Amino acid sequence: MELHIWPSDFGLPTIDVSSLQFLACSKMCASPVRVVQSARPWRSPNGELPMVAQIDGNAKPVTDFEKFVDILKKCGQDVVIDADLTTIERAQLDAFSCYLHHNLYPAVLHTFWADELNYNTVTQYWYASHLHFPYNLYYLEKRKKKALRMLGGKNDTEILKDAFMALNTLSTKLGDNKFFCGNKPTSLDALVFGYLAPLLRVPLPNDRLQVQLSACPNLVRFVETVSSIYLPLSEEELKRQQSNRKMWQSRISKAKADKEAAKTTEETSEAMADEPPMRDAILFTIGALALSLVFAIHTGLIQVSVEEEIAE
Amino acid sequence: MQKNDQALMYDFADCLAVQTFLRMTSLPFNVRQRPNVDFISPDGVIPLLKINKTLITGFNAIVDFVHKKGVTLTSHLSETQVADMRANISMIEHLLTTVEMFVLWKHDETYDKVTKLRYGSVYHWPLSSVLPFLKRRKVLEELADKDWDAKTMDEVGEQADKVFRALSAQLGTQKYLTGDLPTEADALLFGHMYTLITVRLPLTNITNILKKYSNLIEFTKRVEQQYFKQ
Repeated sequence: MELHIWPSDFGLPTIDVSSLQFLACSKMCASPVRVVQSARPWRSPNGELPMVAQIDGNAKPVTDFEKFVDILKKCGQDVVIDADLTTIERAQLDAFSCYLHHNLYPAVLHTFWADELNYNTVTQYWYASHLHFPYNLYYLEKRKKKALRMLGGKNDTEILKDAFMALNTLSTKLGDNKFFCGNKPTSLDALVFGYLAPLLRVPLPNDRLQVQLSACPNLVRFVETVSSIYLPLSEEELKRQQSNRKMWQSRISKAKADKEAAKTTEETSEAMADEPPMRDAILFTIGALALSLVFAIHTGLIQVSVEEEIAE
Repeated sequence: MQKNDQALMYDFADCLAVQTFLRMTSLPFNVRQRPNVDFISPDGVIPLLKINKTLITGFNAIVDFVHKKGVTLTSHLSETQVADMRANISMIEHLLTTVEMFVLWKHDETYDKVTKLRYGSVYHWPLSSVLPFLKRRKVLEELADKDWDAKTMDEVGEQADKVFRALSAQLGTQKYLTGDLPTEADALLFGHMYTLITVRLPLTNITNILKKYSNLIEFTKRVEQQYFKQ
């Protein structure tokens, strides 16, 4: 089996949410799957990474997380994921994965794809520099549109409110445990890790969700544990990412500065904004009055009264 | 809510869930059936609750609203139980509703024989054939965005089975999902189960899957006895 995922960066083994979920899940059950870092999403049947190519050439590549978990269960490894769960735990696991997909995932999508500042500073630049020229425009546009459609008509505050609630729910559910179902990792842990790790590691100029997440120390600890046990990075990768870090930091501080500047100019322009309409209105009134006066005099409307005054 | 002969499976289920919830909290309310409820609701979501001049749409918003007024069914639960309950609600609300939507709008025979007629029943020709067509296009787009358009009927059945299995396991032999007292998750569960059991569709596989889980069916009968027998 080959698992194709997006390349690594920012101290993460891969930058994308679902790529992380696939990778974490395969590492948790020590599956011998070969991990390929790829930037060629067009080879997958639905045009998205991650994709799992099977060994026998005829089988269709898998892009669905549940199907991937099924394959992992069946491939005869020593460690079978989700094997020791009771029926009730399994039921709760299904319910939670659905809950997270509808309450937390939209906020993650919003943070990376719908928030203009984050998108322009980080997401767009990252994907554009990893894909080649004409294709990257098409791919970014396609993926952004899809993200926006998935967010639907909800506004920012609703999405964030749902996500804050989901984070709190997760935090109470985790408690002081090492993983969500006791001491052994499950596919739910892989899912949660996928949603949370990019929020923690990728530096972003608009970071409301990140701040909220850092306020749940047990979730932060959970992400650290999973990444240090199952997804340690190699020396080379760390070095390469280190070299890029300065560039990213300068981009982000620049974006933040731009944001501040835009805010202050907006405020000052708002203060200024009141004046021109008022001045314009006065000028317009004076002009209009003058014109009608000239017109009235010209047609002789006022002349009559003037003559009367003189006569008296 | 919509008229009984117009409402589609998932809309009917949500309306029933709200009624059950309000009965569980023993708040007084009147049910009004309106053929144009789609257009009364500001965001197209039904059911809607009208209190004086306030309109509240959707099951979750109604539960939230009632909660803010100080009436709640979850005060006896621990935080973890509330977390589980929220997860259950979300599973019924999203996964099960998507399954129902898929059956009603994507399956050709069901659409021709049931959905089209029901949805168009309150309009005159030509609206009665144009509006269902437009609605179908919209729903199919929604399904495509969820990556559901390529699913086969069997895969959809598996998803439904997953929901029923999860809920059935959590219900076990208890009276309600979280023990002896009802919560809003029970109201929503009852709404959907009752609808699935009583609905008549050309396609019976979802109902057949449900029949495997006898405790869910008993639960539905029990809630019906308790809250809807007068």
